[in-house]
Amino acid sequence: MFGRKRPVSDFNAEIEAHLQLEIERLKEQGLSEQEARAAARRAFGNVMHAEERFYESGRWLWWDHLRQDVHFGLRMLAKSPGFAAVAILTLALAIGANTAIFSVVDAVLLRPLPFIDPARLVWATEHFAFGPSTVISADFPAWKDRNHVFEQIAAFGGTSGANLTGAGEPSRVTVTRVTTGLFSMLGLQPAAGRAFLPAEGKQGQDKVALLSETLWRNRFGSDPRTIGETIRLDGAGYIVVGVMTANVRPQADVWTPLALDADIFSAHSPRWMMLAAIGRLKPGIEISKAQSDLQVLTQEMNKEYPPEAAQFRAHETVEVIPLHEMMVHNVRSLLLILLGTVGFVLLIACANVANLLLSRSVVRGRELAVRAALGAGRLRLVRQLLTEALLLATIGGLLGSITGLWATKILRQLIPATLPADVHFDPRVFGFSAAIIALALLIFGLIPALIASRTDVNETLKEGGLRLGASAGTHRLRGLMSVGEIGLSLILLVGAGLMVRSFLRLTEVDLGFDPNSLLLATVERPLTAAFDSQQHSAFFQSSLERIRSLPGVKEAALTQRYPLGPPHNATMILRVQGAENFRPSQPISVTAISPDYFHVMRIRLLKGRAFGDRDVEGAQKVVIVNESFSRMVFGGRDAIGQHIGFGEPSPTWKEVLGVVADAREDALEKEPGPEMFVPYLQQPSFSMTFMLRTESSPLMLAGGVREAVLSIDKNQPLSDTTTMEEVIAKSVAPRRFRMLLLGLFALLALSLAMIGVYGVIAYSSTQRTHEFGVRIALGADRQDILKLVVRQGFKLALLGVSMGVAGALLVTRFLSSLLYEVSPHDPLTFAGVAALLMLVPLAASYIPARRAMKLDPIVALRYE
Amino acid sequence: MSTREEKERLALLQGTLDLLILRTLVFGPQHGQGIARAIQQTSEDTLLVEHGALYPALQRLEAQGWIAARWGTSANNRKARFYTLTQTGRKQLVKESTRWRRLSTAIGRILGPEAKEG
Repeated sequence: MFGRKRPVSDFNAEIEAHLQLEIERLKEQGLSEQEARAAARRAFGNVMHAEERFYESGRWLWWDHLRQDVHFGLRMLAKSPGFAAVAILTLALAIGANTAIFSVVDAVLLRPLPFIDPARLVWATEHFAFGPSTVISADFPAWKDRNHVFEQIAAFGGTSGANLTGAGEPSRVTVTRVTTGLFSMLGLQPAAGRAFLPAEGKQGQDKVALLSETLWRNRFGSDPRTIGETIRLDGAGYIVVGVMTANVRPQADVWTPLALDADIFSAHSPRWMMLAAIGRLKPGIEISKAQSDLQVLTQEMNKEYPPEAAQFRAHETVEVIPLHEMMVHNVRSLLLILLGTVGFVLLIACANVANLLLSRSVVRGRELAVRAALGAGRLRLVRQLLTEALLLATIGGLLGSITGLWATKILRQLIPATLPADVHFDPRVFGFSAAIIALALLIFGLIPALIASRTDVNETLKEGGLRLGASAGTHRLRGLMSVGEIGLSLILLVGAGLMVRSFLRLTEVDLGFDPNSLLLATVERPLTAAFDSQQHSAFFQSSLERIRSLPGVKEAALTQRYPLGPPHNATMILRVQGAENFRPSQPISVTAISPDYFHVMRIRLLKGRAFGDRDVEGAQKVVIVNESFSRMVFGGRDAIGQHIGFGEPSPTWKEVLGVVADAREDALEKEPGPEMFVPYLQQPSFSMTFMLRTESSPLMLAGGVREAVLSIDKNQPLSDTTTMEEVIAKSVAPRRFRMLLLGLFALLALSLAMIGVYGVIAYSSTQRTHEFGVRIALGADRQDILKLVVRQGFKLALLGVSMGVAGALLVTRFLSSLLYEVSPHDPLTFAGVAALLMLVPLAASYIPARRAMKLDPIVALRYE
Repeated sequence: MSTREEKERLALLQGTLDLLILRTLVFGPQHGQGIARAIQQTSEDTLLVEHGALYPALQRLEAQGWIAARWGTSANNRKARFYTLTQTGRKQLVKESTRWRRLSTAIGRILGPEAKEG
């Protein structure tokens, strides 16, 4: 029924049959074979014509033309491999970069959380005048039982470490304590066994544990019999009830239940736990309503706390935000900046390819005119050019998707660990970039086609085709595009430059200690009643002595925490003898150390003396403070010999022995804050880090340290061994990654812009060959010709740079959160980048200028 | 066939060929050459049908579903593609013929009584 599906051969057979029948009829009338054939053909009319009309009525022609176009397009591309390579590479890089970044944005910002009904999940926290925002454990029961806004609310404690003993070597695992309803509220199912029962949120029944799939596999060989077994965490037994899948948040190796009737949930407890809370709002409840409801509850709670708590509970506020927002807010601005950056790169790439296509349309003017003269319809010509543009887009897009695939893997580290999301190469995103590029190609592939089809074929052929499409308008368009490219890449380069400057600033920071040849080995003792604090001290002291005697160790010391390491203990409660009204304005960190810590770290002692062998348990309590502390607490007075107390409402007085120089403790970016150091023998800690100043490469001693520790306690694993240099590198790694990423995109933009500018200048100087010839013939110096060419590049550069600087001044402020001690309008960076970009057009005009200078006037004058 | 003869034949009006084909097929299945012959004979050689023009028309009618085609064997044992009128084709023929009759009557009225020959 569908004539179009009828094959050509069938149609031809029918015509052949017709002719035969006619011939036979005519022969019957007495005509000879030859006469009959001729008559039949005449009566039929034009056989070819009928066939052609059949052909054109079908799909065949369309397909055929496409095949021809593609074939011809490929041949054209192969004929100018330079053009093809540049265009395809440009597209591939831009599509790849966009695809990769957009994939991360999609995974982190756009996709909903992989929990049940994630839109109603919120994060609730309390803010205090100092310290991290958290939910104080004693407030949580009120939130849970007396709120009017949540269908369910759950909490979990910060992740801590524990020594897992039993099967095999003792190992250090992370443990997170969660309220029993957390996983079911999120909709997370165990991979094996069961989740916690509500009854297990009570003391006495809470000695149960869930394992992570990773731990279950690595340590227990995924043996289903593990469920029901008892594992020992810091010596205490827990029955394994289930295994959780890998996408569980909060992440940990082991989860144990929080018993809501435990001491820490009472307002009168001597210590509270810092919790994080996640709730599921009742349907239709606004976030603001939830926030005010919790705020009221927390204020009611104030009455139940003892009076000493009033100080820290003053100015307490509650904040409720969507869970998703809380999980991504650290990376949101960075991702948006990166998205903007690759967007710029995409724009530049589009401008570049359009530029290239425009230049080509000029060169191909003659060819198109010839084809038009031979009878190619306008539509056919336009289609030919579009096919070529789409060919570029397709090849570029394919390569781009490969680049994207590869880049997405690198960018995976932009995803915050708290977010249970993974980037995978997203075809939607790829389609988005490809569509943009294809659109640009269509628009700019079309312009030359339209110009060509508008032109009078006769004129063009007479003129030799060179001037086709070289209208002033086209040329101005190309100039503008190069200006735009220069402007955009200037913005990106300024951004990257600011990041580089920040990074350099950071590496020049005075650490306050010497990070070279320093090995760090952290040991965390089990937190159980079986080990009292004196035993901890004894263990650390004998380990330290054994480690000191290891060959290759120059000096060794102990500290509760090391610079740029995990967060530390801090207190807001400080009493100063003789200044009873003194209240600290910020938390003060407290670190227990062994006497020679400052010496090993090369932290300078400014005044007084360091700890000695006499400063032990039972002797006068002593403390050493840093410079910031001395300035904050004592101002101009001498700190040495003063007495201070901290940590408890009625503290024991400690004598200030010495003042040490400030060192960077929290982060390289962060100015040192007030610090106090105490001898670990007077204030024992269960977790200490051995600091070893070594003779050669520090990590070579890691094995020796492990053995020394095991020789004192065969159940004691090392939590972590690393070097100070590694710690520093890790602390700046995100910044470094951001810098490299932005720098890479900026360089990409720069090289694209350079290609674009080169194209414009090279083209226009080819156009002016004739003019140059005349000038040279009339006695113009080669230098003058050089000036002519370079001046053009210079004009483009000046325009582009001034536009770029204006643009950069507007947008760099979005970077300020990522900068360190560099103003977003840093004049040095701006000037440097502007100067660099002024050079780009000069460099780009070098080859055309050389060519113009070497012109032979005779040849040039003949040239058309 | 002289040239003069050919000039006196009427060129077909646009659209009339379709009608003629449908009309010819009322008498039963026929192949292209047969249709061409039949038109020429029935019109007593007044109408000029360029056989080549027939096929695009057949093609069109087939696409519209008014005729159907199948390969078969002709009276003198040749393979040929036979066309038959479909149900819709029959309806279309009635519609078209009525239209055509009305049109020719109208034109006849405008042109007035036939001028005497000679």
